[in-house]
Amino acid sequence: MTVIVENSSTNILYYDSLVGEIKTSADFLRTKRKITGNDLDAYLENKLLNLRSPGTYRLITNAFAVPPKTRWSLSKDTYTYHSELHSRPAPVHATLETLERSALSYLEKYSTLPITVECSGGLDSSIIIEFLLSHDFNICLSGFTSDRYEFRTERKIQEFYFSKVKSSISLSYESCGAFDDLKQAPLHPLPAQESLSHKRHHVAANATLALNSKLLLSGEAGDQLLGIRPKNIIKGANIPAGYYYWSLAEKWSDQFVYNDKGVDYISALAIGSLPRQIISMRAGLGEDHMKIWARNILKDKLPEMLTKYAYKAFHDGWVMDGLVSVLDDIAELGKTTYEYLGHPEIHPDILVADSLTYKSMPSDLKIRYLGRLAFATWIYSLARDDKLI
Amino acid sequence: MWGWAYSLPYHGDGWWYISRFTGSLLHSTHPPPFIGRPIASVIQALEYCNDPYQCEWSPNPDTKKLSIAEMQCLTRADDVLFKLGNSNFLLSILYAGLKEPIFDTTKQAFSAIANLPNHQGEVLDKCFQRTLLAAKTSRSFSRGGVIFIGADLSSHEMHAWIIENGQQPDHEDRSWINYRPLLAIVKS
Repeated sequence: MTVIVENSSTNILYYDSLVGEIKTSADFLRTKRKITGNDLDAYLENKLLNLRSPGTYRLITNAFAVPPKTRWSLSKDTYTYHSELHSRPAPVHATLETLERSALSYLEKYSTLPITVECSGGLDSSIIIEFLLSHDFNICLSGFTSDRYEFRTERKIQEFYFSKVKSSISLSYESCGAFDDLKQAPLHPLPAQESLSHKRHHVAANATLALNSKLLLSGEAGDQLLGIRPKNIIKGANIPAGYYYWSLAEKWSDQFVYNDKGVDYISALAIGSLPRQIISMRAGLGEDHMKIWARNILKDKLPEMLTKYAYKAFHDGWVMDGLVSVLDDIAELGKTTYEYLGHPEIHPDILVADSLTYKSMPSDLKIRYLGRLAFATWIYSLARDDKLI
Repeated sequence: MWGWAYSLPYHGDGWWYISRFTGSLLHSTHPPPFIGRPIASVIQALEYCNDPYQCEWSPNPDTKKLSIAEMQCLTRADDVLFKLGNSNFLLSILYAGLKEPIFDTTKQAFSAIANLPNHQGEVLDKCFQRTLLAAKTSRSFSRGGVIFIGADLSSHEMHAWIIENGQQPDHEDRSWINYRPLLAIVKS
């Protein structure tokens, strides 16, 4: 028998198949849970995709995360994407002007409040910054920057925009490692890759507050909205209207890191009807990983650094150095998890050894390693807060 | 024929450089031996590497229609470079130094190479062969082209690319900026 599970809220909810109930994260976490090695195997089999892409995934501790505004079908030990709750026909006449009007109408409520925008030095966040500056919004900027050689192009763009606003905070990648403070990861109902970078978001939330703002806009959805082949999203004549996959990684951070501090973390490219309009405008085009379409239609609105070039800085070095700098924490996460599960893949010595060889792993093993680390981080947080049976 | 390979060592946590003979990335407490001062075209190309927004680059290819003979020549040279592989570093460079001009510009060369069967998918996987083939088959490369081989010092991943008279001619390569140039190869 198939059960259909729906989440009409704007938050990630959690379906507990043992009791057949959909719960908020706080309700879900009220019950202590017994976790087994099979749950780790199931999580690794999901390949970190369950909050990022429609598909069929295995349950973890008889439960799964239900993305906002989606419908899923549940069978014995797997769950499968069914549909969006609010698919709508593709807008026929979406243009840059209709996009601007929609964004303005959504952001009207913030017109008198300071808005912080994450200035990454890339195209997506720059689109948001330019748009808000051109409509006289009161914006501040915050952004992680680095002295690393590979970040020199991003630094130039950050310097360009930081000089255009009254208030900005430049945060340092060097003082915030990619895997810092894993032992202080927020308590969360199910393992999530996003828990590994909670410190970066914690620091960004504090910067937002320091700028007297309670809203941080990011450009996170840009890779998908401006790069993905529209045919992969459009279902028949409809385009999903909800808060869907490309926003979910950051939705997790919004829910578990930012909201605790009273800050909202929102992808400005994915608000309201913007995703539908953008996908509709790109209909018929192919995959565009350099985002040439966006660079062309915005060539009169953005600096040449962003319209003439499509450079892409890697964060790999920051990730790899970050991993090696927290080996003691990784050993402790592994020790706690191994004592509880007895699963060989999570043995502290093996986790530490794999951290050191991560840089030379093929990508599938890298994904598996990050899954093991996310699982250990989850178990550690549950043990720390006495939530394990 | 080739002129010279200039070592461009970087001093961070020790000395990082690339062997001119094997193409291996080396990390040492000592600087590499025999560092000659690079010629003006290498110094100028390095400035473009360090400030990529000064560099001319376009994602659009510049396609030249090839005759059957030209296509056969290009494919044969490509196959030879792949057979030699990354492990025959010096031999590959020497082979690429034997000019077989097919294209007027290096940008045209990259545009055609991008369509060869060996060069589908990720640019970074075949960058050495791709770059050498472009240099071998382009007329303009001899007039100011510089092959750079660089590395990301955290992952130790390496990459090869060309800067030629202020231009990065590979329309598909947007990742070259992530690699610190450690070796420059120029024509005589």
